[in-house]
Amino acid sequence: MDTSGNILHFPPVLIKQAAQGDPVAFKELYQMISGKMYSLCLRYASNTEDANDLFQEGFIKLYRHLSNYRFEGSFEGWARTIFVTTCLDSLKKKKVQFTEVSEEIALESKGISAIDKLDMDDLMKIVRQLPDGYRTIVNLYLIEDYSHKEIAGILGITESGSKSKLHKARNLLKQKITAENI
Amino acid sequence: MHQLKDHDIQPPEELFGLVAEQLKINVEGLTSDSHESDLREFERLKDNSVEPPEIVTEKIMAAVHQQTSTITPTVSLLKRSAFRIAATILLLAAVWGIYTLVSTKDNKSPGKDIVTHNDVPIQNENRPISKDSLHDIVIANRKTFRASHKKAYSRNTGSRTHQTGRASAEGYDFAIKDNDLLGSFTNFNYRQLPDFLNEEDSRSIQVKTDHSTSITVSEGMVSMMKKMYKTKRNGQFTWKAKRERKKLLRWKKADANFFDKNPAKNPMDPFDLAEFIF
Repeated sequence: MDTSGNILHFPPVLIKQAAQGDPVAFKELYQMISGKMYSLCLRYASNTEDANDLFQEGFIKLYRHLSNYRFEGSFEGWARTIFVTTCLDSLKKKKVQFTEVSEEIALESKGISAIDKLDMDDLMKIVRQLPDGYRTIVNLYLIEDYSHKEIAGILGITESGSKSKLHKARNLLKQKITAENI
Repeated sequence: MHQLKDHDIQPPEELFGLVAEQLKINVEGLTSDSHESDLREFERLKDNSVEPPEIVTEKIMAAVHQQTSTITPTVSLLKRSAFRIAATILLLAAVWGIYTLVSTKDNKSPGKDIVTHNDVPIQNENRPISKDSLHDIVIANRKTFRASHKKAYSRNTGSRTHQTGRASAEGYDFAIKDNDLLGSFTNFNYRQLPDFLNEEDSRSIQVKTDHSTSITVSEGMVSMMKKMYKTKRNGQFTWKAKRERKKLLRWKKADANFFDKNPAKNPMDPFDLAEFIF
């Protein structure tokens, strides 16, 4: 399993074998990708139980659609899309209001140097503390590199709404980072 | 109430974006230009890897293993698809066949005959005459109401009709067969159903048997006749039509018992008719 953040190489033969129902190949594929996908689920879900459910659901979906993978883009990107979609579908089922204001946040923001001192676990902890709506925007924009246009399409909000929500989410993040360092 | 002066409500957050858009302010720029780099650290999370719990892994493997047993090779899938397509084609062909068959039947049904035939069975007076007029008319011409009630009339097979008079109702002239005024009067051809059977409201009508004699058919009787000619969309008779027909046949039987036993009795004779009725 890769934990260093390097781009993983998935041998096409392995993917084909897994798609044809080879359990050993699938197990190997699972070992390669599960860490990142589980981390993704933990970031989107509001608690560990939900993350476990999303992770399972995502992997079952991935397995079912494995034969649809056309070897055109990176396999990790393709898998990530499946997991992100699964997580967002779950949030939509929970009727998370992406346009709802859940907290009052000061619009003024300051630069934070303390973030450098935070390790991966701290960052993860801070993201998971965010309310559902903000967490989703942070995940999609700051982490998954979706554009505001894409986010607006995915969440059914306006592009401006996505921007303003991100702005507030950022401020909240900074508040939490400051609090974490104190 | 004065406190309301200091009360504040947070506006919907998309308003901020809309206002910024109208003011041509780059909302993203408000923060991203100067401080975006602060949050770039979060991008690292994309490559973060967390070991999933063992139990979750086991569950996934079990679920996948279950599905693996149901996965069939591509060739087999192709064969199955071919079978499915073939089955679908066969099914469609069968449905089309049944539809065609039903359509053909419908064309032969009484309702359709109204459009396709010009025969007037009751008024055909040149055919050989036998004792039971009704069935013979049916045999000669299968477009009458009776033709579609073969079972009810099958008992009379083989007998021939006798014309015993003429009558008219509302301008429709018809022959009376075997002294069966009731049966003859109700044996209209579908194509030439008289207007009073097609009218929405039922009304009493007069059947004239000669210059000086007429019988009034009550509103109820006309209503019954109308029901008797009702058909469903597929041309088959409604259950009410069948019920009315059975009722009429019972009356016809009573009529036959009264007049046929005594040839001297004539339904055209008001006295005989009155005797029958009362």
